[in-house]
Amino acid sequence: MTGTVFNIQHFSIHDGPGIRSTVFFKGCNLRCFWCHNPESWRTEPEMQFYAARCIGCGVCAGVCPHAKDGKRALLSDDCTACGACAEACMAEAIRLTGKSRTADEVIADLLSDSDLYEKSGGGITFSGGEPLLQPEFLRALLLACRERGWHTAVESAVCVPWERIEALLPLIDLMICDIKTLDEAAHREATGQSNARILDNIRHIAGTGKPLLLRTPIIPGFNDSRESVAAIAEFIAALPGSPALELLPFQSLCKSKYESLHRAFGAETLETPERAYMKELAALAERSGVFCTVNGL
Amino acid sequence: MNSCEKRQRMADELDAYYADFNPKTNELLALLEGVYAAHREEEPSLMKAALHEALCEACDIHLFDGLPFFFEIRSGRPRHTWGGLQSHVGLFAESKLAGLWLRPYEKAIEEDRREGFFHGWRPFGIDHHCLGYDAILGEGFEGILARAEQIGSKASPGQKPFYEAVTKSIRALLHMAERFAAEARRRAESASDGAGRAHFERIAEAAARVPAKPPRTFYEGFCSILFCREVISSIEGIGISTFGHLDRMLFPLYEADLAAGRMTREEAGELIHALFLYTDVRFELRRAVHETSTTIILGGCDRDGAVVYNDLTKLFLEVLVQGRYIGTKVNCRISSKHPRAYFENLADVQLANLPVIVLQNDDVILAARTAQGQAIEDCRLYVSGGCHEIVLQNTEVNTRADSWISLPRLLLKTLETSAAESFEDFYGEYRRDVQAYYDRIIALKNEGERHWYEASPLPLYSSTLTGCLESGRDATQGGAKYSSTALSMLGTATCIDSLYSIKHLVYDTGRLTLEQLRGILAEDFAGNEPLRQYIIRKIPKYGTNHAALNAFASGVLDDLSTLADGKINARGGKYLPAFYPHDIFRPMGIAIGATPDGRRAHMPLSRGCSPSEFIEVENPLDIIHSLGAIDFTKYADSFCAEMTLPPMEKAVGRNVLAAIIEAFLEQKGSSLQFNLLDRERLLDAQKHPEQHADLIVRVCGYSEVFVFLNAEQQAEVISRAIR
Repeated sequence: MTGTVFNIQHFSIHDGPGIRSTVFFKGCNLRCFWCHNPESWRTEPEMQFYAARCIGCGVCAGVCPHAKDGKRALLSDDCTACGACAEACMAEAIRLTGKSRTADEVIADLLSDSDLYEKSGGGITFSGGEPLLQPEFLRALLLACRERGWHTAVESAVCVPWERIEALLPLIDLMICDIKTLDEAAHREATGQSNARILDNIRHIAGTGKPLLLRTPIIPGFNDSRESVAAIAEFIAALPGSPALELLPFQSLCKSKYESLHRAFGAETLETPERAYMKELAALAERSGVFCTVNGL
Repeated sequence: MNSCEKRQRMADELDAYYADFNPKTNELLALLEGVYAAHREEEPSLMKAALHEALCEACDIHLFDGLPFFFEIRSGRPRHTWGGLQSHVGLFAESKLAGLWLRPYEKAIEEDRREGFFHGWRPFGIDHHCLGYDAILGEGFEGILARAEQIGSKASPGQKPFYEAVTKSIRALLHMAERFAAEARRRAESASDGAGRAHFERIAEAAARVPAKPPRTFYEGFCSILFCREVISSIEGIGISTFGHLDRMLFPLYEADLAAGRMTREEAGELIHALFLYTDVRFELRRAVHETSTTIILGGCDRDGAVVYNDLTKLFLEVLVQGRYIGTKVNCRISSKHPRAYFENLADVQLANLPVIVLQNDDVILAARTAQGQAIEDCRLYVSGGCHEIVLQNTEVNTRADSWISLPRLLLKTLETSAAESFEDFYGEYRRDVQAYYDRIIALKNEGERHWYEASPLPLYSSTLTGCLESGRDATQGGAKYSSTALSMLGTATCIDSLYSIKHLVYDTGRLTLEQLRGILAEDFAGNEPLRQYIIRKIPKYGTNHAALNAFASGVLDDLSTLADGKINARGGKYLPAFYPHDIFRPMGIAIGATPDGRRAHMPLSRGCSPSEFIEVENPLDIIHSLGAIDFTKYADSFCAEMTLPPMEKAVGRNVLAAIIEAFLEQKGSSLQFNLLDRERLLDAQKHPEQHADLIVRVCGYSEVFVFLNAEQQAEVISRAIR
């Protein structure tokens, strides 16, 4: 069983309880303009170029099978993401992101920290991209985690058929889902998808009694109004099992990732919301009876 | 006045006193000159006793209106010092003979220092020692005196002077305490209000009791420890850098006071506040960087092996956080027998952004010490001297933290001339070079140490130690039960990574010849940046939990641990293999050229058992897991790993750090310290230092306010936060 993963991040402490490792799946069916993982959008492998690391040695052009006039094809239309330049780059300025990996390979990578999952009540979080777009691969990984007694969390936009979620849910210990906005038109414009199926799925998940954590990224000009947050809080307050809400202030630290992909960052000009305002929004949500934090704090 | 205001007043009073601290050093030195002239034909220890007698009579004493202790003598010891090396009067006799032992040593190591082989300044270490506090608290100096007189009465003529020096010195010390008692009585009588009278009456009563007799209360215990540490450090020329294992020694008194209603927990807390506050104010740590060489030890176990973790342990940690004290190094002994609640208490200190504690693993350190032939009952009472370095309270005189040998510099030397055809041969040459150098330094140190007794006998320190009274020999003559020297090496990761690079580049892949590598290093990788990047990123590095490299590192460190085998110092004690760093890794890096691990010329060496600073460590937990490959019980001194983590919210961080501490114990690491660094905040603090006066970072075995560090140190701390 193989799948496409673009990163495994160890020592994750903000994606579920305890010390965790987060496995990032490549491929996503949403296109949120503020996304902090643009390398997760496409399923196929992609090249990334970090200019700040480049030492200008020129080895990449020498090994590039599609070079023209001694110039490498990296990130141009001629580039096939074969990865030859990434292999040759000593400074790791060029990276091939999203290699196909077997479930066993992924598990082997997770094993080193298993003592700390246990001691901290942590485990593994599957994130992305959209992990539910590779359901068989996810199932294999969840089963392997269960065999080892590792706690599992799946972070998903849940914009997939309910049956797919339902089938995997018994293998998952914690679901983490985003609610970006309740405004259907705004949601469609900002992410490329309607929120109708997402909200339905969240209702269904809450109805099963599965532990559920909801998150709302606060994006200036999109969903940062008091009304928008109040509407989300009311939606959550009506769910069974009173799930908690985490507000995540927009961050622009991912800018270098967009640059590395030669891709425009749709939220480049936005600023991180003030801490005081975030607290005010959290307090507002709590008024609807929802346990609400900022960045989990 | 609430306790916060009281503390502020205490701080203001101390600050004002030390700001205007104008010790009459010249008068005292003139007096000592006369004593010296009158006694110069006598045995060195009797000369020292005569100097003690003169100082205990002549030094002015001072009591504070707010601080409830008595210890401040005007000995000429400057404000930002702890005595020992910086005590003019204490080193009076020693400096007279510097031509005999110090100058030849300095001359012999001058070139080694310049070339970056070695860093050090003295052949024997007079700092980072610990008094035999258990004898001081258990029988009092009167008890020790009685023992000295009794044994001394039967001593051979050759040993009589030692006992005579001890008894004279103790009487002088007790006279000093009596002077404090009299002064306190005088101040009580002239006090203008009831609170002032009570304050001085309390001091008068304590000074009449301790350190002559065993303390009856927690307060008297504190008074005794503080008086002995401060006064002996000032007058004897020995740096007593630790207050000892406080939660073990003082808990019975604390418990009894609480049970009898003599003291509340809050009152005990105020005494602890006063102890911490004294060090922070004396060393002016809110205004500048100063090394305090002041340590306390918590946790661990008692002589019988029973776990020490009690309410006093918790109280010390609570007070530390309440007062945000940074000058006292709080070394916490942990073990697999301690409960998780203890680790959570320790985590709370870290999460308060107070990186002032170092964790030391009893499971490993006790095994390492008993492997050196030291009795388990003695090992169980180990403490730390100045920073991490270990000494057995009551039984050991360990001279160290004055000499460091650079493993990377020695590797460059081997590389300069080697024509080895296999890595095994190259490694064999390197080991021979290291051993030869180690032996050379030992010979130099021993030559100097032979003059220690002659230059500076230590009758007071000796009298508190197990072994000296029994043997009739001073601590400087090897009288203590254990007379060790922990000679430290430096640059663990730089050395291991460099060896591994040579193995890979020259012998495994044939990418370079030794000649080519020599040329590239001599040019500091100029024109060879791709190769340097290859070395940094493609060749496995220490600290990344790489299986083959772990095995290699383990082998190298096992080999290095045998360097000290069978080596004996001038006091007849053992040399112990050690790797404690201080912040010498920086100057010793500046002194040397590029190394085969990809480190550029003049950059810092690695520290303790941490990975090199310039290596990208993607998973901070790898450091903990890398430790598991190494047998730290082969190193008798503390071998410290540093872990840099992002800032964490309290509930998350407590769980995370406690789990890491448990994993560290399971991996059998030696010592561990954390630095929770927020890179954004560090960068902002460089731009706006005035807004970040409370940003404290771990520098090495000690902590400092970030904005007071120099630009180079700041850059180094920030580089750690990035990875």
